[in-house]
Amino acid sequence: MIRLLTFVSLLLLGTVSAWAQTTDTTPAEDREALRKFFQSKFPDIPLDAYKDGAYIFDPKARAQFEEIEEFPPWEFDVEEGEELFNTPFKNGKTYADCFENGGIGIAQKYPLWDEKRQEVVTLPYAINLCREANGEQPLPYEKSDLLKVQAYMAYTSRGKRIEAPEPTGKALEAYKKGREYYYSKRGQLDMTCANCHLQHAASRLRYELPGPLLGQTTHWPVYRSKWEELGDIQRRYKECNKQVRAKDLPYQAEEYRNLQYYMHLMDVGLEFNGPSSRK
Amino acid sequence: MNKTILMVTLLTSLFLGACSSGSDNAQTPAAGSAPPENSQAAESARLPLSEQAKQALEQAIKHYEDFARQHRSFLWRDTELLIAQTKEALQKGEFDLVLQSAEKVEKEVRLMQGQVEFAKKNWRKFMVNP
Amino acid sequence: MGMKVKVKLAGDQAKVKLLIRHPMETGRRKDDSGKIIPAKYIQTLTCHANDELCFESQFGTGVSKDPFLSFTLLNRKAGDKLKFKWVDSTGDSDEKEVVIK
Repeated sequence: MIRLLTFVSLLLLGTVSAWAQTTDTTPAEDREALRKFFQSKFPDIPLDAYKDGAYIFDPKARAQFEEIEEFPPWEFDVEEGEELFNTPFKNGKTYADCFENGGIGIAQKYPLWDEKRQEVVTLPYAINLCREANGEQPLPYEKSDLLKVQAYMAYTSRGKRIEAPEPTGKALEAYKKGREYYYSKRGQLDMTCANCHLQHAASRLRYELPGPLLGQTTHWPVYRSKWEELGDIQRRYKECNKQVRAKDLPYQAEEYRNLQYYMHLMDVGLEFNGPSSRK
Repeated sequence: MNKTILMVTLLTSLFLGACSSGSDNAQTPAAGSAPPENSQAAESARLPLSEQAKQALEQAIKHYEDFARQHRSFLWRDTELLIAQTKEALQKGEFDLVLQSAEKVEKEVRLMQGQVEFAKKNWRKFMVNP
Repeated sequence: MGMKVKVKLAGDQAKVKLLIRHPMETGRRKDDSGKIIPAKYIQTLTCHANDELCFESQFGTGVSKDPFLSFTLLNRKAGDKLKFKWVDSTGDSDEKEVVIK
């Protein structure tokens, strides 16, 4: 009798846990659901427009943005970045030796799951890994020449479509961690990323319009007028954390890389238009 | 663990309270000296905590630091500063400040713990589901 | 430092866009050690069309880093030679010449 009961309960447990696993949504399903959400909320905005973030919701700001795009403030950085990119390291190698296709036109694939390193690798992280592999000191992730190299590499990817293979195994776990981070309330203000960028995208937060989650990774690095220089998306992650009175994590923290990976998977198929300028 | 900290906090404040009222009787302020309240407060702040209480406080602070490390993505900016402040005050022997800070940290750590648990159970509710 | 210029002619109006690489330091900021960062900001920007002054702007400390300027010149035609020059508070200057296409 006990054996029968044990067998039945194990069977049930197995079925329940298998069912629990199959009821989790896949990245493709999450992506589809996100697009449906925004497209039903804003039926007049085509999917391709989301690469310009909050500017799609404010015509005046959009007009100014389009004028700036004619002569963007990051042009100098891209030129200087190109020079830096082509300058060999002390050992004679260059950045091109570390990247697929010599580093040209590949920025839209980042962040990606690095099977060998068993972690998510973002473009700035990859740039520093390249430096270290060639005996050079890593550069700071903020206010340094690294942003210029990143800007140049991003520039060579303009117009390409964001791509990412559908994650499985450990990559899928990283995606799930990033996804959970996005929807967890944190900080003294007890807010999730979704509060501003999903529920209240296109609503005013004081005078500002938070950019929507959809398309948020397509245009980095960004020359923010507020920073008066280029910055990576993780600089903004740190700012967002501080603004809800949470402690910001260090650049390229595992949590941030996983978060960026989740957001990247949501943008697959959209046009990459980095670098860009923002307020 | 939390109950122990609360107990220790209560006991310690009682102990200090007893000490300051004790010094009331022991010291008769001389004419023209500093007002009695200040010297009493200074005395109670510098009165040694029992070894037990000190160790319990050190343990509590270590518990807060461990929590901050383990759940760093839920750590509040101000709490990190407060924990450091509490530790410093304990090392300097400023026990009034230690207890004040520790009480605040205790409250905040409990709220953060709540956030950790809430997020684990409820994060999906904030997602757009298919 | 550098200067980039773009000119678009529409009829007899030349729309000019300028991007100048310049720190525009006000002289009121302090560095991490508490020392004042010395002032260095553009004071005047001039534009000469065929050697005749056609535009002058006085910047000052209110303009931020890497100034972007946009203005329209009237009565211009293709072939006009435009010369842009800025001078800053430390005496540095830079020039750029562009021929309207």
